[in-house]
Amino acid sequence: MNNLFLKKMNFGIPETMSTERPDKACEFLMEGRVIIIVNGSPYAIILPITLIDYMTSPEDKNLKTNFANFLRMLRFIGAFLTLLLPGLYVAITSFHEEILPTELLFSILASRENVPFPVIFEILIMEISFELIREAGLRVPSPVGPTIGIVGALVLGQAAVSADIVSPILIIIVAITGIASFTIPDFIFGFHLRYFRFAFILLGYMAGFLGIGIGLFVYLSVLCSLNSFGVPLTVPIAPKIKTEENGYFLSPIWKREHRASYISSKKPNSQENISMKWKNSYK
Amino acid sequence: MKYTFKRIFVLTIIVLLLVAFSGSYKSLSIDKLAYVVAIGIDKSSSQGYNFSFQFTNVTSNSESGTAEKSPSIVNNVEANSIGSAINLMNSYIGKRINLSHCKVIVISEEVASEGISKHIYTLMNDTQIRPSANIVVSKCTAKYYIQNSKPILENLITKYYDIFDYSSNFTGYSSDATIGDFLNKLECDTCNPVAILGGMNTENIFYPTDITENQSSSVKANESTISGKRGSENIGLAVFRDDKLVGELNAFECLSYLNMTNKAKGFFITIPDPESENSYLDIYMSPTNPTKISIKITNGSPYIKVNCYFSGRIYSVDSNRQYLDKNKLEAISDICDSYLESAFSDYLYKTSKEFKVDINEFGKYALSLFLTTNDFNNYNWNENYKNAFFDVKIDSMVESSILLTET
Amino acid sequence: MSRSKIGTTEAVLIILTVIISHSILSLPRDLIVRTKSATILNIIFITIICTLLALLIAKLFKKFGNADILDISEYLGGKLFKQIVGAIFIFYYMVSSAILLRNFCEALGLVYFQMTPIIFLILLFVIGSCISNRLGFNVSLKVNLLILPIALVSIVFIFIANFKSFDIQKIFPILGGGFKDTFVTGLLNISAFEGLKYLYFIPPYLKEPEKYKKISVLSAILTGTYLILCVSIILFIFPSFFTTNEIMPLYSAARYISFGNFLQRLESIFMMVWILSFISYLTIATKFAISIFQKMTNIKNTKEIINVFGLLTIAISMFPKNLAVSTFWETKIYSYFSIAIIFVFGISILILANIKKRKNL
Repeated sequence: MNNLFLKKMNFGIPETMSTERPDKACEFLMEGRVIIIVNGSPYAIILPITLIDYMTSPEDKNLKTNFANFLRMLRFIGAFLTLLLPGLYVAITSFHEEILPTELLFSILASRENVPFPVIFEILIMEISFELIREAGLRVPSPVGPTIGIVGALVLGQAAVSADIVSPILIIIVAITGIASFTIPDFIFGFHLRYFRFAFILLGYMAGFLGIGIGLFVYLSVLCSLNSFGVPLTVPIAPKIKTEENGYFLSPIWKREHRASYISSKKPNSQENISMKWKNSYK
Repeated sequence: MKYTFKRIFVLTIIVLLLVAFSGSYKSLSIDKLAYVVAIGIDKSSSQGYNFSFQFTNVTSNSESGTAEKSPSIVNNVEANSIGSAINLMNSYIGKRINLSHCKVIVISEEVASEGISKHIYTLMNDTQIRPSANIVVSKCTAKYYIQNSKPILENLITKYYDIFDYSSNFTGYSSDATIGDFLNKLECDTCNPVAILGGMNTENIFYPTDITENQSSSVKANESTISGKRGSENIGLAVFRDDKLVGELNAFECLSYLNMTNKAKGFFITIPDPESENSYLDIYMSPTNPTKISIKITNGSPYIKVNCYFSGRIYSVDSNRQYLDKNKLEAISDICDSYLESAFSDYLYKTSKEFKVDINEFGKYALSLFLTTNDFNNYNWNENYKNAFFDVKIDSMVESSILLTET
Repeated sequence: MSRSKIGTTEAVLIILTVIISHSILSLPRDLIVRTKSATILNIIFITIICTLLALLIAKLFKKFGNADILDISEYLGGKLFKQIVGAIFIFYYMVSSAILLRNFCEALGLVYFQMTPIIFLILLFVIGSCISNRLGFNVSLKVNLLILPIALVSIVFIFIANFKSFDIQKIFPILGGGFKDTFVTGLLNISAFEGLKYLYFIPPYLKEPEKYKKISVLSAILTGTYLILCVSIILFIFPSFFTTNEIMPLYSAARYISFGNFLQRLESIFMMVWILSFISYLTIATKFAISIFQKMTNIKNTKEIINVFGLLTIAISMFPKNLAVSTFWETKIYSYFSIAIIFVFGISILILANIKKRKNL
């Protein structure tokens, strides 16, 4: 309740992020953001938030830089797959079959031989079933919890394919999309992507890559038009801000000398120029 | 009110677009298309052509994991052009023919001698055809060639079609002649196109030919001594002047062509053994440097100097022999040099005097001798090529045998 | 509503959108037909000339501070002249983007959408651009910043992937059609640098106005480099003594890309990238036309005008009867039109205004 009057939904992306974890809240506070804690609620509200913050996890800074950047790249690929993979599959099978290698195309044709539904119907059935299972898994009591996973996998995977309701390739596509959606750290942003992938499925079915291209352009326009308490959502890529520490990828810990410039924090420098003075001190 | 009106407007636009695009997404859906993997063009008894379309009926892999070889279906129709043939075939099959996975276009010798530019331009005008589809000129009918193209080491015939031109990389007996290259060379003033030469092997040939040649390197398709489960074979090249077939190259001439155009990666040659008479050595040669070509115009005729560089390994070894002796290796290298020089020269003079076509793309090296396009057009390279002189120099070094250095 | 500001990178990328969108259509082919194998030499020559012209424009603008060409024409000839100049530029922006849109949709329709009437393809593009324009002034510039580097990378990728089928000897004969053809008649190729039309209108919007000279020079050089890349792809793959014209040469070149046997026919992916860059170009052209209109008529809220301009774009693109007419407009009329307005009309206004300012001083 206390959170509601602050949060404003813009096309599904909130202006703030809420977290239960004290370490995450502290990390953002040290970066120069504002934290709101309300008596009686376990959540802390962080603002302002950019798109990059939705894709970062607090554990990143505890890992070695290379591994953290690798995980960040994975998350970016996960977001791309969540949003676009089903739409691209529908577009390719409807308009652009020449991209597929011949053997893969014939394999898809063979697997679709006995399936009575067109591609769009198949994919909508599978995506909606997947969402149903995900939603049901939240509310099921814990003794029965694992069974839902097994039943869901059995029902969706094996039985649907054996009954020729859907083709096996589609199961793979839906499974990869579902797994990719779980890589996104922030729940609401993940939800936003899952919500809009249906629009891309429809666009891909209607006009192939043209529909997806136009849809992507409009989606990017919407993203670029949003801001969170004065900070544009897509900073520092658009508009381009060229200062240190303003990227998606982490630099090594001794190089994190500045705070993000678009936050306009009171102290822009978080570390001295050479912070590890003790390293050469024994010489 | 305004909000409702806006919502209704947006919904109307979406429905309108869905309906407008319905023609496209319904007709191009994957379920409604039949994929042609090979097209054949023969001359028919009436004025038109006999077109053959090869499809492959793909059955899904069974649960036991064993995949059966997919049967291929060849349908034929007589028509005056490819467009009308496709139209007739669409009505027969029910599904709409799609050429985007067509790998091979087979044209019979008879049709090729009359000129194939109309077919090439029509096919390349189609958005579906791949520029990397191979062109084969078959010595038998195209329909027979396609019917006998069966996969033996693969499940799908398309896999065979994908890789058979790859064999030119390590044998040199065929080339990767694609329809895209064919069109470019057809348009080009400085070169002429080639196509793969196809035919039937000895087991399936239905009219006997006189196989008098001893050397296996001077055979062509339809004349080799190969016998196997698949009836079709591809050895040699078909040479075109503009769009008409003017001649054929056998296996070794094809190898010379590949070396002139820098496409050869490695090949076998058979040379007389310097140490014993009536004995031959097989050497595996691979180019070490790209072929250097330099052209001068002397007295109005092109003087073309070709330098090739190879390194070789002795493949066939005999008993009681030493294969690391420097003098012996030098002698073998000299024999390789003279063998290749005479073979390449013969091939070059054949293209110049007999076929009168520049299929080796030497014309593009001559471009740098002229200042403007008009000067080059006035020189008329294609006419002057038949008066060309060739100077071939081979520099090969046979280094050793492979695993056994002394027996 | 405060005037939003454009950064340096964004300004350069705005100018590059034009060349990328036009190069997808018949621009490389037109250049090669005019100057044959000497096209690369000709483009280097023209890049030098355009860089000097861009420097000249920057120098001529210097005295006027943050004014754009409308303010300068008002200074030169009064309010009436300002309206005339504004009308000419609006007409030029709308017609150029509509003609390119029509040609691009015709090409798309031929390749993928043979069953769909072309008006729906145009409608899709215009709806997308109107939505983007309604969201705000800077939105389309930010999206352009995201999309354009990907489009540039796609062209570089086509260049690298096709490298093995390049014939470098096709650059000879070095003078192509002759000295006159390359350097005198070949000067008409300057119409490829039509992206410089935005230089006349960006000064008021710049975040750092002192970088205007850098923007103009950088955009001219980058346009030239990009053109050399595009033309090399077409020149080295296809024979230069070409009599066949294709509808989209870069699309045909992309069809030749193959990595082994499993990755072939990737041109649809490039089409998606080019669709994105094209709609970005359309949005920016419409946006600048609207802002010129706003400046001419002092309208406060431009949200409804956006719809009108969208409808106008559709109307102009539906004007040519068929592909033959629209291709004729694009290849023949459009290039002369661009040269006349950008390089003759625009620079003359600036020179006259500078002379007038010097006389008044």
